[in-house]
Amino acid sequence: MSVIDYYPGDSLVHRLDPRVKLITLIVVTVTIFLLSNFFVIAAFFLSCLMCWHIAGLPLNKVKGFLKFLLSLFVFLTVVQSLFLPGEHYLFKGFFSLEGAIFGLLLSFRLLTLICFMPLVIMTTPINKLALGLVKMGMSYKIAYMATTALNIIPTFQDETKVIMDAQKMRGLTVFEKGKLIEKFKAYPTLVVPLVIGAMRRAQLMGVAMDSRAFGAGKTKTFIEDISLQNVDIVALVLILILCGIALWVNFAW
Amino acid sequence: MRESVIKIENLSYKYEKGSLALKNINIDIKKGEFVGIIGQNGAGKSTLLKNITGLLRPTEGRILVNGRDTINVPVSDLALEVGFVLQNPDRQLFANTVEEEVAFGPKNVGLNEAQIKERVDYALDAVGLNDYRDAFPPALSKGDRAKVVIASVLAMGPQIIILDEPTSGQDYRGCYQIMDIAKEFNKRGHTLVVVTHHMALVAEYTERTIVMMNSEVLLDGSTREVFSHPDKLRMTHIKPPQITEVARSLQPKIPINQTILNVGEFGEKLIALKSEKGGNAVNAG
Repeated sequence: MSVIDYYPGDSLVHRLDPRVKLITLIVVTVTIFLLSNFFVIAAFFLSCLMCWHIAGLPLNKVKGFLKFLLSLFVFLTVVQSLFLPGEHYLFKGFFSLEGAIFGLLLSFRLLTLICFMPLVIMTTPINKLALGLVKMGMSYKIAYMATTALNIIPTFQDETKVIMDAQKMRGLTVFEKGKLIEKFKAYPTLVVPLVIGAMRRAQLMGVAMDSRAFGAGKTKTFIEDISLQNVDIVALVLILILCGIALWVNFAW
Repeated sequence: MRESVIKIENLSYKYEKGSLALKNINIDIKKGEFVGIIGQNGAGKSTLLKNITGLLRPTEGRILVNGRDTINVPVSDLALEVGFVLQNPDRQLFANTVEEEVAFGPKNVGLNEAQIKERVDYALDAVGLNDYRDAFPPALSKGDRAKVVIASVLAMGPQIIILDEPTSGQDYRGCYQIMDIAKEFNKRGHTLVVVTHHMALVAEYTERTIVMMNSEVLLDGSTREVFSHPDKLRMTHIKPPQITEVARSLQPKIPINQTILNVGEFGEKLIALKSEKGGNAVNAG
């Protein structure tokens, strides 16, 4: 179970048109990047969590992902604090308070943003996502690339595990109990086989696609069709209004 | 009686998602044996191997390697006793040269330069890749890539060597080359466990065969004995090698009272029969 798998369900979020979800994602992304007020971002974060709840997505299943994010945020905050000049310093001339606050805000903003993405990906079957992208005017080739990339990530995760197993059998222990620097040094043992494997796979996939005449037809048809329902329009309008209010609150106050 | 190096007692393994992959497995592998494991895809062969090597841990039961319960032994320690060659060689080659690739394991174990060199020399010699020391591993042929991986596991210095489908995707010559290498290891005193779908190879090389079906051991015995149960093998869609079937189908006319495992053996039996009966039996067949 990961953040990019489809998680079946029949919630309101699941039933929304993929186009609505994608537009929402874009609008929310832009809005969050414009926001600077902590409380407004917090409101977004809470509403995101609410959507997770409505969609019935299990938060505990993405623990590993959240852990990874946490380490990223710590890194971000430290770096900002180190390089952003301010007035208050933790040590003489090092680690500015202003930088730390900026880093925290940036992290929070990113967290909110990142929490919105699985909401789209986990509630939409991949073929519908592709359909949505195409209906929004994206060329099918690009939509296919995007969805294939999503599809292939779990494969890579499995592959990484197998490679790790193989290297463990050759006495590689740093990924279990090594220091960070040792882990970095050992990464080539994972990355090289992974990349070479990916290139081999991509080559094969290209041949398989060509042999099935990918891209031969001028217009691509789909087995399933999607059409905007009333609920989709209401949801979209509501989200646009909410984002507008958020921006107004953020800049007017 | 030879000492047992892998002893599996009442082993059951359940995957996180719930399916029971191994049911009450009991296997005792003796030092110096050459064991083949066969069975359909999904029968539990790979899961069994992963349990033995510590990549997966038993849900129930226990596994003793050289008399020691492996439940709390780290994979990397176990790897010094049980070498495991995973199926696809491309999933572990990363170094710039074959030599570096093979030296990776011994280096991880913390051996010194001289010891590493000795291990690398031994391993490359054993698989016959001495002339390819400076080659870029991913650029080698599939057969040679498999050999590099086998060498890199051998360089860890394990007494037991487990090969998971070393012949898959190999051409005819590659299959025999790899099995010859395995046989050579066996001669040098290593205990060998090989999973493969090539029945002819199993019949020709292994002395003992374990057949797995639906997470259980269906048959376990000398290879000759296992292939003398065609009816049981058919349950899991395994056919004995063609020569075995030929010999059996000729049974009443050419009385060979033994399961034939390879062509050479069949020939020898025929000649023996011929000299016994002055050639009548063979001419009649």
